[in-house]
Amino acid sequence: MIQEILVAITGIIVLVVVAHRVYNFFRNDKPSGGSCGCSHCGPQVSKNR
Amino acid sequence: MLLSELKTGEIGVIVKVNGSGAFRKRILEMGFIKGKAIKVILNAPLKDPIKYKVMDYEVSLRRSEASLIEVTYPETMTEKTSVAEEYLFEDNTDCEGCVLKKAPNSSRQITIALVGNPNAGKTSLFNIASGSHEHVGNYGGVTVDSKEGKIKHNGYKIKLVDLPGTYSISAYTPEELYVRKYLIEEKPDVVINVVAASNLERNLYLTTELIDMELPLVMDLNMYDELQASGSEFDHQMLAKLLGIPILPTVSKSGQGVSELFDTAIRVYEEKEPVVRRIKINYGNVIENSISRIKIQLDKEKNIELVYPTRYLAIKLLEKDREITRFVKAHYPDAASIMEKVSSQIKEIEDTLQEDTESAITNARYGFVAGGLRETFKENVKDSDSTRIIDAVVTNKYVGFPLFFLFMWIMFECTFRLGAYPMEWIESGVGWLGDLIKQYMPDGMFKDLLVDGIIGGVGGVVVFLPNIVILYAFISFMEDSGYMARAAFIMDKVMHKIGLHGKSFIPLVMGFGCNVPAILATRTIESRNSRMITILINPFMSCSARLPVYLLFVGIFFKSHAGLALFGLYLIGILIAIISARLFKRFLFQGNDTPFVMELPPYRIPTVKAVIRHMWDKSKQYLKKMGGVILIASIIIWFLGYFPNNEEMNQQFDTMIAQVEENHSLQLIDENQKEEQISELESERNTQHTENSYIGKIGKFIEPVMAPLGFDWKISVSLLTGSAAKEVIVSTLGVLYTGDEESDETSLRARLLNANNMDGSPTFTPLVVISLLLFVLIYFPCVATVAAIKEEAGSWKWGIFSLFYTTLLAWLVSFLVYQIGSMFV
Repeated sequence: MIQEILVAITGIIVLVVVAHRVYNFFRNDKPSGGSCGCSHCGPQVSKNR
Repeated sequence: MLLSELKTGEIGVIVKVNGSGAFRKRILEMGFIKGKAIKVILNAPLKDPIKYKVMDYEVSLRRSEASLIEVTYPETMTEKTSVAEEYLFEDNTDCEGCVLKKAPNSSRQITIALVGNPNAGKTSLFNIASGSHEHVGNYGGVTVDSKEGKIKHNGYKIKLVDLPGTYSISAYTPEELYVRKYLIEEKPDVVINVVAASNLERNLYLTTELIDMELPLVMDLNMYDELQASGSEFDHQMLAKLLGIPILPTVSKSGQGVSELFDTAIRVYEEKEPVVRRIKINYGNVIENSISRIKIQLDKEKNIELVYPTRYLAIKLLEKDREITRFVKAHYPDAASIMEKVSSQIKEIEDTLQEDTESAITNARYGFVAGGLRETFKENVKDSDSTRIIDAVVTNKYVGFPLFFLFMWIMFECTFRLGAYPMEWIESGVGWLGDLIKQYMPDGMFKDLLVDGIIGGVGGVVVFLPNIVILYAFISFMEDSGYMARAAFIMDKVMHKIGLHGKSFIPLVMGFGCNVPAILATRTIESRNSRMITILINPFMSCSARLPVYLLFVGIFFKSHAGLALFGLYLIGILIAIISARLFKRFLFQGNDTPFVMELPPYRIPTVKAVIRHMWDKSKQYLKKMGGVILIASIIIWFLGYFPNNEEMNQQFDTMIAQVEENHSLQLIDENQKEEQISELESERNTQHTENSYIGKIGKFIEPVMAPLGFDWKISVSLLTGSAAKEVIVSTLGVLYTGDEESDETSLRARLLNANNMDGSPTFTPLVVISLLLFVLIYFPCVATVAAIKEEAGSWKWGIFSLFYTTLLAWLVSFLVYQIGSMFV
């Protein structure tokens, strides 16, 4: 029974990690692509206030 | 006469630079100015490009580009020798209106930006100062994005920003635009201008632009040891006084002088540095008058936020800078009359000086630099013998290419042969660990997860660590020594033929390490077409993640010619990349190529410390990947292979096994027959269990598509899971091919070698393995690479295109190889 519980815990951890990575991947809405198509055109550098 | 007409060893003096746009601007900024002497060093093996020496550094130009530069022999030069040499340094005055510097605050937290030419050593300084391990190499364009590090110095918390290397900040390339925007919008508290002491004249050109931008500057005179070794004399303190910028000699790779450099940067921030003085570069009467007139017009607008100094704006407007013109048009209500004034001033300058304003201003800047150096620098002219001798061999028309391929072959042979010994040790260690758990842990689900899932999966991949480290050591040597730039030089004509740029070669070789940074490295390619083609063919460069799959199968089936087989795989990848590049050029990215202007750095022997650090970083990265994506994928695959647990089927097998045992107890069968029958039943149970598991169902679902390539469902599933990372193919094979329960095969190689199909024939024949290796070579490397393609190409369209193109091509090639091969085998 202990082994089954350990496997279940492992499964849940893996599920959380995968969900977190997938979420981060799609949440990453960095602006990219300027007129020339490269990610450097129009760099989004915020002003120091 | 034209520069392209000069013969090897001849010296010419530049009379005029023709051409237009970015190319002309770039080479003017790189020192191809009127009156400068230029020497032909050598031709590439295919007679193009040509290596020249100008301003103490070496640069390659294609023959077609060299024909845009008019030269004359020094003895026939009758005009004034050089605009630069006539410059009067005394004409420069203090800048009284420079007000853009941020006032020091009391927080003791400051930002320092590193700015300098490519290959000036910014990243080395960044690494030594911040304790980071960012990638460095002996060629320009290694840093393609800004990197941030935090350091504490003299009670200050410093945010150190390493910006990409640029020859100027004219905003002609993405890097230049990025650096300029960063300096203007972020307004770092201090800017450290990293200058390569071995090539002062060209490096100081960028300094003149920084002075015009009125930034708080400190100059890092890097690679000072090389200057000292050359025997040249440089009074850097005098130049510091003349420029009003503190100059600190350093040797970044050893850390010499770095602490003093930051002490000075803090003094500049605190406005306690006595050397600091704001100077105004004098561009000569004609240009200065025009600058003043435009500046007056700009200064009329009182309500504009001073993002750029108005003098800088005026200079850039005269230089026809597109970004600044756009800025003025967008922000100044009176833009129309300003632009009218600019046009009339440009005409006036061009009529008076008989040259365009871009050349005139560039000449004046170089004049300023030459004026400063004339008073402070006594050069000991000496050609670098070692660089000359090595180049004579590695770029020789007969041995250049064979040497390159020999180097590649040695790299793969060492990766396999030398890596085999530590690989065996790790393999034994993994086997020992598995046996230990099998022996001492009670049977159960978690034990299965540990042994079959984690050790079977991760253990199968971790054994290839030494090979990966050896491969990276070779790539690191190529990058750090300066050979990589030579490889690009000799390959330019070949690359040009297939529609690419010589500079494309560097990201392609970097792809042997990892496709993701290689795709980022394409940012140094100015041409959008060349850049897109390089990005899209980069996945065909076998990355190190594919190496474990190659090593696994090459080690089993082609052991006697392993190095050659590996080299062959990489060559096939290159061949497919060439064919694809031709296709992309023909159908997707037509248009002219950009010129090949590339600096060829002097050779430097990579330090043992640098190579070891590189290997250590890669080992850490690989192990991190083992503990991350590979571990997660192995556990998921184990879950998918372990569940659902079919109780009914298990009971049936238990009943059958009980029946066999009863037969034995009734003495209907002997002991051997009993064990044989039970073993068969267990094997059958395993097979049925895996086939009915979730992963089995997925595998069976895709098997019809993959069967024509010779792959069973387990191989098919491995390829599917390999889309997360290619190493996962090995870990999936490790989880799925667990071997017989009774057999003691801890090595994955042994288990694969003994794997059989349902009809008893071996699963892995040489033909299946060739088909599999080709599929792994061609189909897209990993999700991260597709994301990098999307990011760099600016659209998901290209990421998805790459995914489908590579996968369909992989299927087609494997199909043809397997089906045609089957006719003969």
